[in-house]
Amino acid sequence: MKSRHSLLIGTAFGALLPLLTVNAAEVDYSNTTTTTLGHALHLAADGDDLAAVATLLMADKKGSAEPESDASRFYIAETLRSRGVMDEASRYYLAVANDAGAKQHLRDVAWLTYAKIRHEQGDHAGALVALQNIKKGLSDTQKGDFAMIKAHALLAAGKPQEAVDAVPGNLKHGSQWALYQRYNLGGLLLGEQNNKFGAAILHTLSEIDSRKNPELAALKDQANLALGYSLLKISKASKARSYLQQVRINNLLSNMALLGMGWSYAIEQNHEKALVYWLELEGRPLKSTYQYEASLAIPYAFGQARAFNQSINYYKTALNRFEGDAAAMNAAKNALGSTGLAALINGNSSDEFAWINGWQPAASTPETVFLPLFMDSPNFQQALKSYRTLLALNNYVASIKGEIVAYETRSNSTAPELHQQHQQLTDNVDRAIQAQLATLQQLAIDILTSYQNQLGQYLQQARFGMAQIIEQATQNRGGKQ
Amino acid sequence: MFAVVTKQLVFVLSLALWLTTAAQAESSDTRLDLSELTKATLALKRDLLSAEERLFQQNPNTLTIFINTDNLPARLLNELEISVDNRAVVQHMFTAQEAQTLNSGAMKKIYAAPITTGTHTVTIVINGSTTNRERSATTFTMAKGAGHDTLKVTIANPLQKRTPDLFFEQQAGVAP
Repeated sequence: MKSRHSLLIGTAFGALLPLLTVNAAEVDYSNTTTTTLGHALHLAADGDDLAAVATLLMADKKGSAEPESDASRFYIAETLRSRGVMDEASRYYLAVANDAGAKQHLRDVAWLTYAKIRHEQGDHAGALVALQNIKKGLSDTQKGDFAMIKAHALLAAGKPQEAVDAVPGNLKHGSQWALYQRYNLGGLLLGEQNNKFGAAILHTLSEIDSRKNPELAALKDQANLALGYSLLKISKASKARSYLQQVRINNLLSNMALLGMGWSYAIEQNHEKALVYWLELEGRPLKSTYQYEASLAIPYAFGQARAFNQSINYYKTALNRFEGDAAAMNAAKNALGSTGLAALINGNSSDEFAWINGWQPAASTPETVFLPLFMDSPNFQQALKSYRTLLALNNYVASIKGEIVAYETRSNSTAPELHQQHQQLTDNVDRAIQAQLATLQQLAIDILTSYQNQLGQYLQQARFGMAQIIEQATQNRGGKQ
Repeated sequence: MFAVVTKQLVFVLSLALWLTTAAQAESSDTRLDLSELTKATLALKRDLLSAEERLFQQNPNTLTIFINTDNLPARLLNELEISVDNRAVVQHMFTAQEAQTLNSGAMKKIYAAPITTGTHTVTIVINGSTTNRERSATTFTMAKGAGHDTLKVTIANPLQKRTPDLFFEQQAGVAP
């Protein structure tokens, strides 16, 4: 049983990165005086951040954004960073950071954000060098970011205690980014280094007020899971429950929490209570890795409770489930290989998260039934995110075509260079979309193949477990006779 | 019985959260593609904007008007009308969201057109919201020289009056 916990503890410590967004609090643009930057801010507020950056790039090229060129360059850098264009973003941050004529606060924030990029790209030494350029212009929140970058760099340099010491005790002024880094550091310390201070750091996250912030609530769930499973690993069942039961019940993370709650009672030999959680997990309509685990855990618990008939029945249920799903996965793989996945993805809302919710009830075809299993995979999630970003870019590029035509009408001339540029871009985006779709399809098929292999092992375990129970039941009857 | 390694127990990632470092490593090609395509899109957009600007500046004399606000309560800005030389050229309704955006440093490019050199009047009429039906009109007289002028109109209410004050800033020869 302990080996099972050690497996699951690994699952609880995934390094997380926040959704990259331009943090408006980094720099206050409310005192903007130049019309170029002001106009760009308006375009961005209207939802066209690319037009905003294009406007500023044009002005930057001409030098017409003065006297706020540094604020403009910082804005360009922020937007490029939010779009994942890290090399160009870094170039603009450094341009601001190295400009002796820029305001000190802006230069310091540019160094700080550049350090974040270095940190996120795993260049901890480069991040530290960038931090050393910061003078005194950081807000309390930014100081929190500074501390977390430094703590990670110290850990990467093999100085765990110094890393722990660098983590701010006060969460009050921490940015969301810093909270993610806090989670990652706590996870690294606890998961990889078995350092008890990792638990203390994660504990601070389990106490944050996340009522008005879904992303923070998810981070808090993740911290509670990590703490819960780390305690299960050392058989501190009651303490583990205090964290696991805080995980919100209405999201996919709750599957893992339910499984853990069951294990916490199983450790205490309270198999009836363990079954309460596992049966709930097993009865959930959506497929889940943890549901398969529960399918094995339930008959095990019935067996431990000497309810042999129920144990055998649930082993049979598990066998049917494993066999049935393994076979159904073949049909799903065939569907995914044709147009199934594209229809599934493209038929959903463009909203960043709504599509996930929109998918869940649509479990009617082979590929949709197993969709939650795909969504358990970070690789699939990331690939899907990239695919959807490409689709959005495709729509944006398509809209530029209309603008070129409108320009031609106004100018009473043709613009062949713009059309050529547009066509080339359209072709490249289309190729990238098709390639990404193929990647997604292959990922989905690979995931199903992995599950099929896993279900094959589960089948063996279930058969072996059932044989043991039958033997025990027979011995029990023999003993009674 | 539970000792079998389950590599497929991929760790759960909250759907409200994003990437894992492992996931990033897997998709670096895609990120590179996205990054390059984003840059190419920006280059196209920039080139189109440059072409439009060159077209606009073929007119020897132009006027571009920008609107921004300075800590202005949304109730004081519902509708704005602009007349140039007593000819209505703009009528714009502001949403509460847009009013808030203007308070945060954004400027709305509300009017851009050729104009002759010489003296002109620009009249701004502001209507408050339904709960504040005040209407105010302010006229700015400007001397238009040759080139591309910008007129920045800042709407503010430093004295907490029923109607806002307007501040005009003309910049001669500045490209829009």
